[in-house]
Amino acid sequence: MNLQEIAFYILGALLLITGGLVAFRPKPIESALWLIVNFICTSALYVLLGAHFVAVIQVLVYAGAIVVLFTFVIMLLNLNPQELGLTAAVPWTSIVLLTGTVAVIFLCLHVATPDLLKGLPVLAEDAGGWGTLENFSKVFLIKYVWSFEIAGILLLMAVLGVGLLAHHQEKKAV
Amino acid sequence: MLHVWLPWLFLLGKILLFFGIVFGAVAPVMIWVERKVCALIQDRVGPNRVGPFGLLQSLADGIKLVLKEPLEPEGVVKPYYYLAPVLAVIPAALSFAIIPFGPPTTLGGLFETPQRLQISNLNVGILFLLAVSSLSVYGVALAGWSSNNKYSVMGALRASAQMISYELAAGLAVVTIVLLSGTVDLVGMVEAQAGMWHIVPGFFAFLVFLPAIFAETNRLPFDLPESEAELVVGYHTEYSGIKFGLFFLAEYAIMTSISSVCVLMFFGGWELWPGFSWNDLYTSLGLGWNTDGTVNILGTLIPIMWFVTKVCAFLFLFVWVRWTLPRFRYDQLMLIGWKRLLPLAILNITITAAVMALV
Amino acid sequence: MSFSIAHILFICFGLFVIGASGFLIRKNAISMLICLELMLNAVNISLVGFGRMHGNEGGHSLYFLVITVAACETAIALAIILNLFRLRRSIRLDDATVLKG
Repeated sequence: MNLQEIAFYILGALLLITGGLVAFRPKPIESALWLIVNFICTSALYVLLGAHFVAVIQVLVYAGAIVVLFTFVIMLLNLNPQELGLTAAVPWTSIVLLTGTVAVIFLCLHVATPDLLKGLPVLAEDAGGWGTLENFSKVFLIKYVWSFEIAGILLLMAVLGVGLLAHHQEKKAV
Repeated sequence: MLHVWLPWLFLLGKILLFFGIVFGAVAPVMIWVERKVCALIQDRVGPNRVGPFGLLQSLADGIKLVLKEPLEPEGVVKPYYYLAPVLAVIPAALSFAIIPFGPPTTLGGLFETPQRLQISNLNVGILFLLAVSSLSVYGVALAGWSSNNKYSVMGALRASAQMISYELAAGLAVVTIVLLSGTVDLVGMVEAQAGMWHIVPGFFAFLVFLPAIFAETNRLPFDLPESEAELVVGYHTEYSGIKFGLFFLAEYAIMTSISSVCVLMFFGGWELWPGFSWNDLYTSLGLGWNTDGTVNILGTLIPIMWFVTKVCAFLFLFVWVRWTLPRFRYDQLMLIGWKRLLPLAILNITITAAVMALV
Repeated sequence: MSFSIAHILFICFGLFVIGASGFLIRKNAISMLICLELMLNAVNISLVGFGRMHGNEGGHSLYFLVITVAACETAIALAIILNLFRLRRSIRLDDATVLKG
């Protein structure tokens, strides 16, 4: 059991535990805060896999901007529990049904392609230059440059859309 | 035996040195500097009772903060109230993980190859600092929201909106410097400034970066969220004692790390002068020294001292600007962030990239 | 023992199931969006894991696009929720039944 395996098991357990806390806490502000922890654990998992740039982007964009947006909206709305529709119980039925579905799909895949679980080693060996900023940019900005540009246009459209939607109406619509 | 433990000892030494100096020495000294400089600018004397020249004033302030009664206002949301100062200190502390405070050194022959004076040599370099400073919004937002106080909530929302707006401008200025250096690695950025410091080709990037870092650290002229006159100290109104001390500490720590990054990116880090490096100085003085420190460890220590001097100059600039300029109104602040700095930063990137591609 | 893609997929599936069940039981829109982010995060983990398995950077590129789409969708959904809140003073999706057939 070397350090990587211990780290992987700890991170996996943390991810699942914080995921459960995100999904099943009644108040949205607690969900948002546990979501930050979840994203940081995900970032650590990416570092373990050797994907350094992706790890930093996960913290920068996901934990540092998207969840900030959620936190802002939750704080601005500042709803009392009546309006929130709190649920405190863990929905064991949903979890069992969904897990069962996924397990059935997994078993079918395992029967169809028997070497699914004997996949290639992922963590045990060195990543080489994979996941570094240089390699990533060589692929992303040369091979997938159209996707990059379309992502930029999509973001621009989203900014315009949000600006229009969230604009404070001076005259109230009837 | 020492051979095996040496890298770990070195890492431990770097961590202890960084945290000891920043959290043990910089904060008290900065408090004293702030009050003395404020006094001199305002044509009065400043603290001069506690110790010679008032030097022990920071110690007195620290003792006062620790011994104060930990007031807990009624109606605060307790978990977030206690979590918020911690969430403010953690990004401030993390941001020191990538800052190199000197040239790669062998420490007088202890190591065979020159070791970096960074705590960790990340592949993504300066992007780590951007990521960590985007996490510092949470301390502010939670502090304001959990305090059960209208002024705190307003201060927190304004502060968070200001911080995320100016993060963009700061990030784009960093992109320009990355273009000029050809690397995101901070040591590589300093080595790329051997001929000419990036303040010359990246002057507009510096013009964008400097207000952005003032706004990121919520310092004047961008400190409306914590303004003492308008908003009753803003998001940390309800904090007293050591909790307030933690916010204060976080602010000074992040000021130090951002000043260090500014020096590394624009002012050549530990380089003596553009075009005249320390090795040139050593050979012209006839000493056989090297910045590696292989011949004499002073060859490394002097550039480190020079770097620290530059960072101190920047910290003095922070304090000087604070007591000189009036603060911006909130709408002026947002206008500057979005309508002035952001287009300037984008234009700067475009022009820099075009010039670099054509020349 | 050496790690295979199955370890990462296990985490990914676990997170996805947890996110999906959280999404299904929630009554207010913001919590549903948060669980949606959890599901997207699970898919991102599997993307990067598969990229590591095959050794090319295509997983990273698709990760970037998924993050972009997630950010846009979060922003627009939150704007819509704010408008819903302004109209009805409630973000419970059980109350938004005007178009129900």
